[in-house]
Formats: sequence, C-alpha cells, structure tokens
Amino acid sequence: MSGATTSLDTSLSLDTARRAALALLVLLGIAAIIMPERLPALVASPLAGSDAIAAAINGGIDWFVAVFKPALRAVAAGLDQAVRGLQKILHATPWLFIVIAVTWLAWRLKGIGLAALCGTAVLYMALSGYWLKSMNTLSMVGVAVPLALAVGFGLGVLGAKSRRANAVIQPTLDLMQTIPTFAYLAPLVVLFGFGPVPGVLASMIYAAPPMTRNVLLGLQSVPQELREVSSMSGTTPWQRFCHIELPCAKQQILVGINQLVLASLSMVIIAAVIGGFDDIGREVLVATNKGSARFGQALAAGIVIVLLAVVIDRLTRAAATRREAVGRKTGRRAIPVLWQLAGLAIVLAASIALKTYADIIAVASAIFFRLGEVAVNGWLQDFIATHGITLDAIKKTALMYLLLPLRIGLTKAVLPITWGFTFTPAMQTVYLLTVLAGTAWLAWRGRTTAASLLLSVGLISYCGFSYMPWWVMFAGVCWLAWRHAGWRFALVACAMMLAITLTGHWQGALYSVYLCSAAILVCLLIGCPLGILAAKSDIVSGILRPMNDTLQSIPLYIFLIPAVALFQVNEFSALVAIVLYAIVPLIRYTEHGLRHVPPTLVEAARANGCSPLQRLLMIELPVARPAILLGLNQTVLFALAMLIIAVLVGARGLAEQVNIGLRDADTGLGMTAGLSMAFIAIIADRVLRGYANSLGTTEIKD
Amino acid sequence: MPEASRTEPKIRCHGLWKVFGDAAETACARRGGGTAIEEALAGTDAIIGASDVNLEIAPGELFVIMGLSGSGKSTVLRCIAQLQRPSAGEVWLDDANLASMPEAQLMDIRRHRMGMVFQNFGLVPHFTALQNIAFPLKVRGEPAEQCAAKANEMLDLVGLNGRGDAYPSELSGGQQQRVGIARSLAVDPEVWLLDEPFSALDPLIRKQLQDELLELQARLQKTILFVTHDFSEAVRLADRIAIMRDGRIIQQGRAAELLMNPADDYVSRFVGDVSRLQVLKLGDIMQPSGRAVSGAPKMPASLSIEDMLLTTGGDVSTINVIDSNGRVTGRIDRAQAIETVRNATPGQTG
Ligand SMILES: Nc1ncnc2c1ncn2[C@@H]1O[C@H](COP(=O)(O)OP(=O)(O)OP(=O)(O)O)[C@@H](O)[C@H]1O
Ligand SMILES: [Mg+2]
Repeated sequence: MSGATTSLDTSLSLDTARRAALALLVLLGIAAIIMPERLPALVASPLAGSDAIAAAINGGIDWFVAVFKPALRAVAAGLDQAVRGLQKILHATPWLFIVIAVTWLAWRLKGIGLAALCGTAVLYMALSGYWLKSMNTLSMVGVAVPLALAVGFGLGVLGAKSRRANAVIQPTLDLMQTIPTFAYLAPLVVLFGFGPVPGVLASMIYAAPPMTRNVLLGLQSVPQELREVSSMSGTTPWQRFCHIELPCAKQQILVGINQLVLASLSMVIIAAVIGGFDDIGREVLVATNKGSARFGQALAAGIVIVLLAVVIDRLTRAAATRREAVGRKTGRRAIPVLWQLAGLAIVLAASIALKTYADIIAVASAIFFRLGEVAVNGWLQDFIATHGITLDAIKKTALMYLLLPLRIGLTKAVLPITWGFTFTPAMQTVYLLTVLAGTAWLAWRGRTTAASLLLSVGLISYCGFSYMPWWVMFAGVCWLAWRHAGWRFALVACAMMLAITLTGHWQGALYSVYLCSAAILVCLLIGCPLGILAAKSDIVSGILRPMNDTLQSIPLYIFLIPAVALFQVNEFSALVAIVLYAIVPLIRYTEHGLRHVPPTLVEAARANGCSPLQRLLMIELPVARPAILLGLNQTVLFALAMLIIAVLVGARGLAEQVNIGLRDADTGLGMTAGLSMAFIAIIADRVLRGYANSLGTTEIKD
Repeated sequence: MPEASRTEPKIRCHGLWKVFGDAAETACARRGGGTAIEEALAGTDAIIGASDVNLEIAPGELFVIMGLSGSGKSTVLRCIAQLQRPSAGEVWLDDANLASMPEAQLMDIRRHRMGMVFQNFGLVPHFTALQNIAFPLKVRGEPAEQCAAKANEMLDLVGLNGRGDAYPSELSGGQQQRVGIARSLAVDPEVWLLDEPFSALDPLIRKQLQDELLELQARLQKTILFVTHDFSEAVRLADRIAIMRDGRIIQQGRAAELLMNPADDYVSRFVGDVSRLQVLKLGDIMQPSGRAVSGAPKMPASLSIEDMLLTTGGDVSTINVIDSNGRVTGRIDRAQAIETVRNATPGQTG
C-alpha cells in the first residue's frame, strides 16, 4: 500500500499513460487487499447471465428450419449424393492403382524423394487396414474442396475488386478465424441432420477463409505498374484479370489452395464428432476416448491421418512451386500427354486384373497391423505400470504448482497437503506487499509494461482466475485494449465482455482464459528457448523445422492421442495437447526474429565487446521482440483453437459449453459459447498485435 | 519553335489540373479549372499533383518534362495517358478530348495510337520477352502468327534478337528496358510516352539507350513526351523542355533558351550543372546575317560551341554559320562567343 502511495505522489510529473497505469495499479492493489472472498459481492458479477439470447437463437433456427425445410433437404440430399458417389468411386478404384498414381504424380511434381514419401504413405494406408475409412474421409474432402475453392476464390476476387465488399469481407474473415470450429457444427447439424453433409459444409466454411485471404493478398499485391502497363496495352478489364492479375497472383493463390485443402481435411476430421459417417476421424476419436486401452488403434489410425495430411500438403506445395522445377532449365523432357494417359490406363487395367491378389495382401497385412496394435497396447500398459509414478509426479507437479494456483489462487492452492505448509495471513500480506512494492518501483522507473505484467501475474496467482473480481478483469482488459488498440477498440472489448456476461458464460470464459494462460505460459517457457536454440544452431533448426511443418499441417485431433495415452482424460492432458499444438508458432517466430536481426547491429555489438549472452539479451532479443510477440499472438489463437478440441480430453469452460451445444443440438448454447470464445480470441489478438506494432513492424510471410 | 507554330499540335493540354483526395477532386471538378481552384483548395489537405498545366507538342517533336522528385511530372504524363483522370482541364490528341472520353474509346486509342515506357520497365514476369512485346497486339485480337512476326521485328529493332524466349528475370536492366521500348512500339503508336525510362539504369547503359532512342526517333518520327529529372539527359534528347515545380510548369522552351534566360532561381539551379559550351549551339548565339565573311571557316548551326572551340585554332576570329542546306545564316565572333557563354552562366565568375 505504502509503495503505491509514494508513487502516486510523484505521478503528477508523469505522462498520461503512466498515470493511467498507476491508477489501475492502485485499484487492483486495493481489490486484492480487500480479499475478495470476504466480500463475495465484489467477485460475482451483478449482471446475472441468462439463456434468453441462446433461446432466441434456437427459436430463430427452428423457425428457419421450419420455413426452409424443402430447400435444406434438397441441399443436404444433393451433397449427400455427391459424397456417396465419390465414396463409391474411391472404393471401387483398386488401391494398387491409387498408390502407383500418387507416386507417379509426386515424381512428376517434385522428384524421387517426394515420390518415395508419398508412395510409402499411401501404401501404409492401404496395408494398415484403414483404406476404406481413409477413402470415406477423402470423399468428404473431395466434395468440400471444390465448394470451398469456389466460395473462397469468388470472395477473394470480389474483395479485391470492390472496396465496399472488402470492408465486409475482411472483418468476417477475422471473425471466422477465431470462431471455434465446433460452434458452427451445431447449427449445421440442426439444419442438415446427421451424416456427412454438416461435416462437408463445416469443412467448406472452415477452408474457404484462408483461400479468400490468399486470393485477396495475391491480387492486391499485383504491382500498380503492371496494371498500368495493362491499361496502356489496351486491355479490357477481363483481359487484364486473366492475363496479368491472375497469373501474377498465382503463386499466392496456390499457397491458398494448399492451406485450403489442409484446413478442409482438418475440419472433416473434427466433424467426426457428429458421427454418422464411418471415416478415419471417427476411428481415431473412438479409440482416443478409450485412453491407453486402445492406444495402438488410435496411433495406427492417427498415423493414417497424419500421412493423409502430409501427402496432401507436400503434393499441393510441390504443385505450387512446380514452375521452377520443370522449367526449361532442368532439362527434364516433357512426356507427351497421350503417352501419360496411356501409361495410366495400362496401370489401371493391371491393377484391376490384380485386384483380388492386392486385396488379399491388404487383408493379410491388416491382420498383422491389428496384432501390432494389441502389442502396442500391451507395451503402453507395461510402460504406464512401470513409469506410472513418474507420470503421476509430472501431472501432480503441474497441477499443484501451475494449474491450481492459476485457477483458484495461492490462497486456496497452498495447503499442507499440497505445498507442505499453510499460507498464513501474515505470509499473504508479505506476498502482496512484495508484489505491490515491485510494481510501484517498476512503474516509478517508467517501465509500465513490466510493472503491469508483474502486477497481473502476482495478483492472478494470488486470487486465481476463478476468483478474479469481474470488475478487475473488465478494468484490466479495457485498459490493455485502450493502451494497445485505441479507445474505440476498448469500447468494443467492453461490449464483448458484456455480451459474454449477459449470455451467462462469464465463469466459463474465466476458465478458458485460465487454461489457455497456463498453456501459453508453458509454451513461453519451452518455446522461446527452443526458438533461440534454433536461431543459434543450424542443426537444431534443421531438426525442428520439418517437425514444426508437420505439426502445423496435421489435424488437431492427433495431438490428443499421446496426451490421453499417457495422462488419461483430465485437465493436464488438455494442457499437454494444447501446448503440443500451440508451441509451434512461438518457436518459429522466435527463430525468425532472431535470425533477422540486422547484421550491422550484431557486428556493432561484437565491436563493443559484448559476450554472446550479453548480445542475445541486450541486442538480439529486444530487436526480435516484435516478431516474438507476433508468434505469441499466433500461439494464443492456436491455444484457443485447440481448447475446443481439448474438451474431448478433459478441458472445461466455454469449450465444454460449445461441445454440449453440439451434442444436444442446442444451437443457441453452442453459438453463444462459441462466440464468447471468438471474442476472447479477438481481444487477445488485437491487443497483442497492437503491442507488437507499437514496438516496430516486422513482416513475416508464411 | 517555328515548326510548332506552323502545324496543329499533336497533343495539347489546356488548364490541366490533378488534385489527390476525394473531396478535393470533386471541388476541383465543380469549379471546372482555373485559378479559382487554388482558393477552393487553400487550407484543405489536398495534394496537388498538377496545377494549371498548358502544353502543346507538335507532331514529331521530342518534348521533355523535367523537375525534381514529386514535382508532378509523372502526374502530367499519366493524365495525358488517362491512367489518371484529370480533375479539371482538357487533353487533346489531335481533335479528340481524351479527358472526357469514355473508357471503351480510350481503350481503342491505347490499342492503336499510344505507347508507354515505364520507369521500372513494367515487364510482365510470367511472360517471355516476346510474349511481353506481343501482349498489346494479342489483346487487340491479332492472329497469333502476325503477333509473333511483329514481336520479332520489334525485338530486332531494339537489338535483342535471340533473347526472345528469356523471361524478364533473366535479362539485365538495360535489356529489360529494351523489351519495354519494343513493347510500347509494337502497336506503331503515334504518341510515345516515356516516364523516366532510363533512371533505373547505370550511366553507361543510359547513354547508350539515349543514343538508340535518338536513332529510333530519327527513323520513326513519333511524337514523344519524355519525363526525366536529369537535365543533361533532357539536353541530349529534347527539342523542347518544360520545367516543373510543385505541379506547375515554371518555364518551357529549347535548352538554350532555358540556359540563357532562366525564368527564376529554380530554373537556373536546375540548368546550372550542365556545360554551356556543350549545350549552346552556334545557331543560338550567332548574329544573323546572310552574307558570308570571306576567308572565315563555315560551320553548321547545330554544332556546339565546345566543338567549335576545339576544332578552330586561336588564329580564327570569325566563323560563318550555315544551316542544314549549306546556306550562310549568320556569323560568330570567337571572342564574343566566349563572352556570351560567360554571361549566360549565372552565379559563376563573370
Ligand atoms: N495516387 C496519389 N495519391 C496521392 N498523391 C499522389 C498520388 N500520386 C502522386 N501523388 C502526389 O503528387 C505529387 C506529384 O507526384 P508525381 O508522381 O507526379 O511526381 P514526379 O515528379 O513524377 O516525381 P518522381 O521523380 O519521384 O517520379 C507528389 O507530391 C505525390 O506525392
Ligand atoms: Mg515519377
């Protein structure tokens, strides 16, 4: 308290931002000292949430379904036909032919290395006994991709051509990126019933935005000079679009297609929670939920998904960069199309002729795989039996020293049975005074950011997210939003938090924020050092980069498999799954930021006699800070995205509500909870990006 | 310029204005040009790109616009090409006002009568050199073999035969700009617009391309509007020069006129860098007279003073100046010539 008062005295001479920081600091300090649990009125929000809004949404959807039933039925039937038609074709095609065709395609696109990778991958799918399920998944993807392509491309062109359309499209894209995927599964199920159709449509909705974004980016970055060249050559607008703009944007559009196909696959896998279509995602989901008992199955089927993603990713990427590879310079002879077609026909005929034998081989090897799965299960159970104590210790440590304090605060988490001592009032006072004094000192030195960071971490671990007084949360978020994204956005953030409160999701939101914060903390602790190592050592970078590439391209579900196998279904598994997925951007951006520190600065530091460590701490990390912050921003968004999946293995809060909404076909509940999550993501995104921008700009393209 | 006064101008800008900013643009359009605009814009944050520009360019003339960066050169050029629509004023090409012409008709004019060369070459990266050159022909719907033939012809014209299949990224800067020139000439335009075409090139290549441009012009006789910020380039190329500042044309005339009678300090600072002995020609400083001085050497009016001084010894005091037909048109006193040059050099020892 006393520290805060002294700093108030000197605050007259400080600038507005610092004064605001100090005011907030004092407010928060008082809040903490009053000890929320003695004054529950201060903790619980006076605005009682209600499900009126959710009910209204449900009413609206019901009305919509009633009115548009025939149209919805027709769409559903059409899509269903398409999926099942494609499924029939894929089932009928001999697997041998698909293996050979994919291998050949990979060889044509890139070379022998990719051919080997893709060939092995597809062969694995065929031999592991999950062939038909993979084909089911592919048939959904196969219908979703063209739809998403058409929608994504159309919207991208529209946005590039019309400024007014763009003003609508951009914010919609931002929102779509942050709405958790389950949230729109629920209304789709209500509208179109169970089966593959909601999955296909969700996949389209999920996959179109990255395409739109890339088309927009590509078309917008066509050099102005080329547009003028085109005008001066006397082109019609259509000629200009076809001959100049589209080819110029091609590279970016191909990147978009790559992202689109991967997103589509990812969503189709996620949509397996709906059920009603026997695809590979369903297989993994069911096996994963059984924990270590069916780990082998989950692993074998999970590998199929990973391989599907990797093959699709590498093939589309190879196609995107093909021009240089098959250009005149490589000297590879072009094989006439007719020959190629003839070759394919021969292979097809041969594979049909050999179908019986191939199928026998597949069945036989599938039996081996099943046996292998059982063996893996046994092995895992042995492993858990022998190392159970270690695993438990890891889990307990994380729960006691990280998760619990963050959730319910040190005051409740520090108990003799957990920490070995009681957190007496005297100790609490000392703790609080230390935090406040440290904050005041930092603020007085003018280091507002460090001060607010220390204060929030100190107070949050003191009372925990769950017991955070609602108005402290409001004040803190508003202040951050105002500081880093302007007062207009501060108002928006306020409105968003109000909406969360009014729909009755405040507690859920606090829980989601808590679990994400814990995950992000772990990501920071592990990811930043890894990024630094990768920046300093080419070997580490060479190992991490392909791992990161793969981690980013595989569907989110896969991350649940190891988490559940080792730690069963609980909060800690959720944390592990989130960290596995969300850590990637942090590693990447840290490495990127450090590797792009201007060489002159590094040389100057060297010339001034900095030791490598000093150079890292005083020059490189501060210069790389904007990049690292952007990575952190991505990590936050990834964590929120994964949270929704992590519900399946023990996360709670908003994500759980979304999931319940999906399970009970309660669209209103699912959508309000989903939007609440989107709001959290939007606020975090804007604040972090604003902060990164205020430190300087970095351009990072993926 | 005697030629210009005799024939109808090919291009004529009249009261051309270009202001940037939506509000300013409407204000400008409503006033319909004239100095009233300046009052209307005073105090607003409008950026003026071109203000009250009046130009007349004769057929076959090589007209250079110069000025410092941001003075509005490109703006004027692009307003003439209608890449930017002028805020007010008229742009006449022969007897058609481009400023009020609908896009469709403009497209037709660009397909047949205008060619433009861009500062950063503006080559389409996914086209080969030949495809770039053929592009304007292709979009106006000419059959493929005709396009190819014409493109090859153009490639020869700029001395790039054999490099037609190269992509822009495989060509040097000088070669890229040759492709740009070939493309702009592919449609046989009457009017040729060049916006700092050589600024991105190194001095030697620049000089070489300037020479080639002059050669081409001697053969093709286009009406050329050439933008540069380099006065020595302007002097080498131009029939007439206009100097711009803050969107206005400060002065226009032949290089020698700018040198000898600069309108203000800005112009004299601009022209200060070039050697007067090279720019001023005998015709610029001679005393007109039809009678030859006997015994004196005869020299053409287009010879620079420097060349005259270098080729004549100190013993020659008077020179007969002849025109291109060999007729004597005037005479020069050697000592007096040096005096004239010294007087035309502002700020230097006089
Ligand atoms: N699209 C635009 N929007 C706003 N202002 C513009 C635009 N284009 C040009 N300007 C402004 O108009 C003025 C003249 O620009 P212009 O490009 O004509 O200059 P310039 O003489 O060609 O210069 P440079 O030698 O650098 O090419 C400048 O102040 C410029 O900032
Ligand atoms: Mg310019």
